[in-house]
Amino acid sequence: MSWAAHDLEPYAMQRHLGRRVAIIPLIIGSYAPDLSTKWFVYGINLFGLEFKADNPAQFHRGWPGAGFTHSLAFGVVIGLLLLLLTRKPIWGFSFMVGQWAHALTDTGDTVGTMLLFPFTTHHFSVGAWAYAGQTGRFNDAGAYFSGLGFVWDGVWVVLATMNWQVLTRSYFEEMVLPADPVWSWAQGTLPLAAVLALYRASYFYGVTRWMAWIIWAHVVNSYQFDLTWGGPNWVPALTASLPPVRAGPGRMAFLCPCGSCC
Amino acid sequence: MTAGQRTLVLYLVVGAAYITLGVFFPRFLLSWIEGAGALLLGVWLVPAVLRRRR
Repeated sequence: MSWAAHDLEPYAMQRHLGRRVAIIPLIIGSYAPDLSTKWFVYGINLFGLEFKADNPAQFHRGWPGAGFTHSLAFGVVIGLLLLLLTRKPIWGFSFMVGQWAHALTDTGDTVGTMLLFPFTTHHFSVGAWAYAGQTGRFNDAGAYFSGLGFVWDGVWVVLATMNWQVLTRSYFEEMVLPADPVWSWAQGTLPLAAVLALYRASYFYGVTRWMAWIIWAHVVNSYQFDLTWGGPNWVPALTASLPPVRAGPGRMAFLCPCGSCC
Repeated sequence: MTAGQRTLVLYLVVGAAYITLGVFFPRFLLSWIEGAGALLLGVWLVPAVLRRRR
């Protein structure tokens, strides 16, 4: 999983795709795979009852589970539904682009995503950083911001910031506003300063929390940096391509059900 | 200082405040709505209230 890339990718894409995309469905698409799943991965407490997946990685990325939300087909299906509902091709296309970016980015961790579901349940994984969602939200943050995951997010912080023009008022008025009537409606309801803040919110959220989590992990707490491939090795990372046994020091494995890689 | 520079400084100040808050109370870093709310508060609502009181 990624902690800031999903906030920032839409701005870099907006810069390159211009009026061919609308930023709102692009951002919604970029968040969509985790919107309905993350709370159950980390667990929540409601009225004294704890709701948490027995196998967070299986639920989040696997099948049976909600792993289909991280497939390319999910972006196509929801994009088509949006097209049918809104009659706006740009909304469907933008959602799909944002969702594809999310699904592809999450192949970077050790569990990976079922990109080609429903044709195969194989987990495509680059395995650059540890998947540690099962350890809880804060341990996951500590692990993520100690391994290559935070470096990957840093690449998107740089890429989005290099495309800073996309955040300017003139770009918003020339390129973003004409592509989506929602912004015209917002402008008629709120002052421009508030509308621009909403437009820039995901960039703000991505960059600030990327910095805050790094400080939290390494200044306030003392999580150890480990930039080795698949690290940090001190966290019990889940992997997609090994049988469900302990697969090395501190590692638990997660079974990829596809029959070709296990 | 131009209007654009003033806006940039305001965003940087709000960003630094949100980072500081998040470092000590990381729960605030978990919700997009709280992040966007902090931004709206800092760059729009508070300056608008201050302008009105002047």
